[in-house]
Amino acid sequence: MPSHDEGCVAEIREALTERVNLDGGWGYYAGHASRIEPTCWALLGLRASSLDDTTAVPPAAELFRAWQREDGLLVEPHLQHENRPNVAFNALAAWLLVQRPELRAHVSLAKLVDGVTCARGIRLPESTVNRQDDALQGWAWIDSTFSWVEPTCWALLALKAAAAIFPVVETRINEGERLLIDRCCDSGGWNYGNSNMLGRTLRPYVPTTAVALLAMKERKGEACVERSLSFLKENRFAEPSAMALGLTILALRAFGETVADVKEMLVAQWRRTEFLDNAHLMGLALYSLG
Amino acid sequence: MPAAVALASACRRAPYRSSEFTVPSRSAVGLYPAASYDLDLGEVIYRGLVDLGVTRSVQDRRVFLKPNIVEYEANTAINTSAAVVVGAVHAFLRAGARQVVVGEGPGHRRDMEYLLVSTGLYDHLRELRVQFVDLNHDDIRRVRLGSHFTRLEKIALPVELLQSDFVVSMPKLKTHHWAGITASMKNFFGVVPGAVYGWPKNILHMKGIDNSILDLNATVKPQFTIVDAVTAMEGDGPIMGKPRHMGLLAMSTDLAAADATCARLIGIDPRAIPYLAVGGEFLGNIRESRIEHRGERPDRYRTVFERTAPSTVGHA
Repeated sequence: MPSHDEGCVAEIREALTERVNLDGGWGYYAGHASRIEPTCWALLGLRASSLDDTTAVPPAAELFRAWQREDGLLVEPHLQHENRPNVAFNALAAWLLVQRPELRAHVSLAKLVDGVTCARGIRLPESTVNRQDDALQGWAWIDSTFSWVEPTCWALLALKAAAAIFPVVETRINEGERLLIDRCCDSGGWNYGNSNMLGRTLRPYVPTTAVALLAMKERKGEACVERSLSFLKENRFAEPSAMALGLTILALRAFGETVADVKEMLVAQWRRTEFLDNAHLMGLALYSLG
Repeated sequence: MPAAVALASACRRAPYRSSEFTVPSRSAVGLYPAASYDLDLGEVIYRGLVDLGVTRSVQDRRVFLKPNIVEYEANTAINTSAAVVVGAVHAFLRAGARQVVVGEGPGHRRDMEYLLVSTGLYDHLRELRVQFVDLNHDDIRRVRLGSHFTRLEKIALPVELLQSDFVVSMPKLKTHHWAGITASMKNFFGVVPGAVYGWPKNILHMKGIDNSILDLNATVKPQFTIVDAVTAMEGDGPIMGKPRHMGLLAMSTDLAAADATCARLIGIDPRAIPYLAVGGEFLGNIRESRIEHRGERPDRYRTVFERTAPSTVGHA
């Protein structure tokens, strides 16, 4: 008889496999155009849930090839007119491709990592509205806008993972880590962008803290990392959602913490909302439960 | 110098075509008492729809409700109340709408599931079997902007929004530390897909908040607004301000007129809010003499909201 977890995993896996598009990718929602983020999470999740996904690999690999531009970054066809690659999602794709060599058949991981490396948040003049080092350049959601916590985290994860395969630009990793340390909230954890504004301390959030801890796991022992790990452990149930719970499982597991209770809550959340039918969240949940 | 010219002074061409916009000679703004969220707000909103003559406009139409859902924190007044959204669903269906959908794309928080569940809206919409559209991640279509204050030619907008016949802004009335106030017009930042433009809709912030508000409203051309001022927010809005009870729902087919009225109610001169001053030239009426009131008289609600630097300009 399958355990509660296994039953849930099977349901999510089935829902996800039903939603694959003819081009081999996934949209955020059923019937929607394939996008980078849900496609990456679906591929990560299906593999983690022990599904034999060998039939999914060739079309997905072809999709990544079709999405890759000359500069190495991926852009979906219907977004090419916008000419604004989403840096965070490209970093996620690089992180996936490091883990799944069979997907790299037609796409250049080195060019993709170069593209992510070269994308930079803008350098701002000294801030008059908050206390932070705006000279630091991490990564923005969209190239040449403000550095933000999540895209910086995904870029760090991508570069650190790729470093196991080929040399990466260490100075970018160092600057990204310095930015995260600078933006860490006083209480530990991370808000989306700033830790304070107009003289007031901003509060940390669970998903941003979890992904930042994942990106900073080699910096265990750093004061802000330890404070943030304490925050995440204390608040692991505070934000009931697939994004918060899934990332929390990944982060706590990376730091050797137990995650059984968070997994239970993630299963309960699936029973309650079915993650709004969002393929990105289904993939993330499968990956974290796997 | 007209405000539009000042705002877009660096543009070589006019930021909009006057022929594409019609400002009515007068606009009606309805102010309806709603002492608490426990009242039958569907009844209050339906009264507004009748008073303001929009029931015929929504018959057999697909109505899109755009509430303001930004962040969740218990006992605050950050978001449009779920009770107001539910009331609007009932009122539009009663008025003959073929379908009512609700959509939002938070510019601050990315986790829509968390926001929907924690605000209580998820359970209400499921019970009503009303579709929710995640505007940050919906399929998109590029459309020509109705004005060009941002100097962008086109913008990608969510397909579910573009496929709707009747778009309703449903903001929470709040002071805003950058934009002065956030109400009907500012609410349209939430239709910009974050997956395309980043968070907090960074591309548009860099093009200027006022410019972006104008372009979005000139493009979407929303037909109606229901402002949740039952409990509004003063001080350090849009997130860290304090709840302020007003006991009011404001409604209008003219969003600029509704926002100008709300601004005056809380002690802010709408002409000092750049996007309202410019919007008053082509999107709607902001002059008091061109606004007529339905429901309650404004004097019943007039007050002065506390505001936080840097946006302290515009006190009436």
